[in-house]
Amino acid sequence: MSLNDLNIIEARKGLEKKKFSVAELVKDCLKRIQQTDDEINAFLTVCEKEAIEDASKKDALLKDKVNWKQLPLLGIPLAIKDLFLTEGIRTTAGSRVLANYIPQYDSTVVSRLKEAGAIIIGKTNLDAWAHGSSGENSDFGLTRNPWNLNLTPGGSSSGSGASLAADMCLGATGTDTGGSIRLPASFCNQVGLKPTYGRVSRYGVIAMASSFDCPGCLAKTVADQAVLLQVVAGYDQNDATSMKEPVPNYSSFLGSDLKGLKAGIPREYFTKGVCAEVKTAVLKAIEKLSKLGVEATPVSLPHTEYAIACYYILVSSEISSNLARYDGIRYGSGRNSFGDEAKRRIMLGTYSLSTGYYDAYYLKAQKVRTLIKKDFEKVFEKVDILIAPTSPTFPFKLGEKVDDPLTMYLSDVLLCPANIAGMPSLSLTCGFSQDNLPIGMQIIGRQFNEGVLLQVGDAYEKMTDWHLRKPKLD
Amino acid sequence: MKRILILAIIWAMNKPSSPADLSRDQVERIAHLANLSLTKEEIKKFQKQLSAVLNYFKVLQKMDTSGVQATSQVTGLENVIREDNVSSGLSVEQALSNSPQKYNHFFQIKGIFEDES
Repeated sequence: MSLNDLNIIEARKGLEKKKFSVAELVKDCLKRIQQTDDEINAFLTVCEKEAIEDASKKDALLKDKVNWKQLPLLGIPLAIKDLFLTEGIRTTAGSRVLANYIPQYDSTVVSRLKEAGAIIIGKTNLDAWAHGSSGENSDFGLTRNPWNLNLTPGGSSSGSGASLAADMCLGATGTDTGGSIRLPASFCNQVGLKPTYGRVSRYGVIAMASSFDCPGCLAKTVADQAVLLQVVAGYDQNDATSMKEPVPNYSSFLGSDLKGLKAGIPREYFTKGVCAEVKTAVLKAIEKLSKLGVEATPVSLPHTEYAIACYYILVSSEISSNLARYDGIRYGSGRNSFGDEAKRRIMLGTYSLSTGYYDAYYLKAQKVRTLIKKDFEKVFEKVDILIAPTSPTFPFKLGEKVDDPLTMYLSDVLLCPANIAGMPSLSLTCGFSQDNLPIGMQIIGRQFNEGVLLQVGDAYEKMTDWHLRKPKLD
Repeated sequence: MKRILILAIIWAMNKPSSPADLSRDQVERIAHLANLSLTKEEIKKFQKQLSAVLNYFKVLQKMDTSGVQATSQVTGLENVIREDNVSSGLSVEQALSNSPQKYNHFFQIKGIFEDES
């Protein structure tokens, strides 16, 4: 096993015990990238020189006693989704518009990770502007799923999911506006957390839909996820939608008793379009959790069927506003460089917000948003968490045109309600298909209850070994 | 989203064209509002695709939302302000560093009062 196969907690122990150096750890990650990324295309920019230089600085710090509380990610190589601004390192948003854009400042998430001692190994590929669920909308070529190179790794954080699955890094950042952390996590056998809206700062994250965007991380284990969330979560005065809610010690939730915890099983998330193998895997996981004292009960989120229309009207409206800044004056190559998907979403949004249509589309969708949010508030009066599949199907073929409308509808409907309501949701693997593809389940919680999600996820992970499986890379 | 549009197109192509379909003029107007210049082929393509998606959105019209407040912020924040303290920002060089056209310490842009050329 090479050092890049380790998770964050293992790597930390190894560095502390001086079993290996940061330089060796970084070298192994870079080697994996060199060996496999030509095919997978997870990275848009690899920061080889900077990472090696940074590694020797970290190794110098490790010669003395390290305060791991202050530097919880010291020497850990992370991949950053190319939607997060990184000072001096090209940031493209996956679009030709920003092909040569060099940010003048770091996003808050990146500064916090750097302050915690992390090393940036590179910037990962994504659907351009985060518009997509498969990675196929990138202007720099699609990303392949390490579990099967003909399949999608999920999107829009496609490169982050794929790079982590291929052990090119020990953790990765992503953004979840309509499932874009959870879907790649599910398709790539990773742990992906969509934090509560406002839990993690959006400052320096290229905006898609400002009232939906949730920056967060992908990790190899739930315990790693807790470490990463601890670093990035918390109030930021540069983000006016950032919440002052205190940040608990997330790792302290792991290992606590689950007895009496009530889990709702929302019936709308288990309907016809959800593949049988996926349903079985999630229900088996719920059964396993019942053995630990979790009480499962059927619930209903009656407005779920309207989530897609509500989501796409509001999100495309916010997109049309956020992408207005790309006029080629201060940065970027101008609006003719937008791809088709971006143009479509901009125009849908412009239409929904225009005179004569605003009431019927945008305002209507905002009211439906209230109803969907109220669905969640109501069920959380009776239960503490919801458990559901992350995706109704397995990772689909790259280039496939899905002819089943029902499956298409459902592939987004399981993910976007959490974004509509601003709730946190954790996706982790609950089984593998007959073709050895990971099946993800999501645990949705009350706002700012990420600790409980991690607690449940960790307990499940300890009873299973799905997370230990690795894809076969040639 | 691409997949949703493909299915919406297939769905729309199987039904008679409704009066709500976008006209070419409407697409051109939307593109103009959004400051996008589209080719003739793009206008045709987007006309079909946008119409299909907008027709799908109509499912919300069925819903009774009388008396329901609109939600624009999911965590209840209102009027977030900060102290009026001066702090440092980007230097002029930093601010101009990605601009394709600069003049002295300014961004250079197309004239507003000149003839469009």
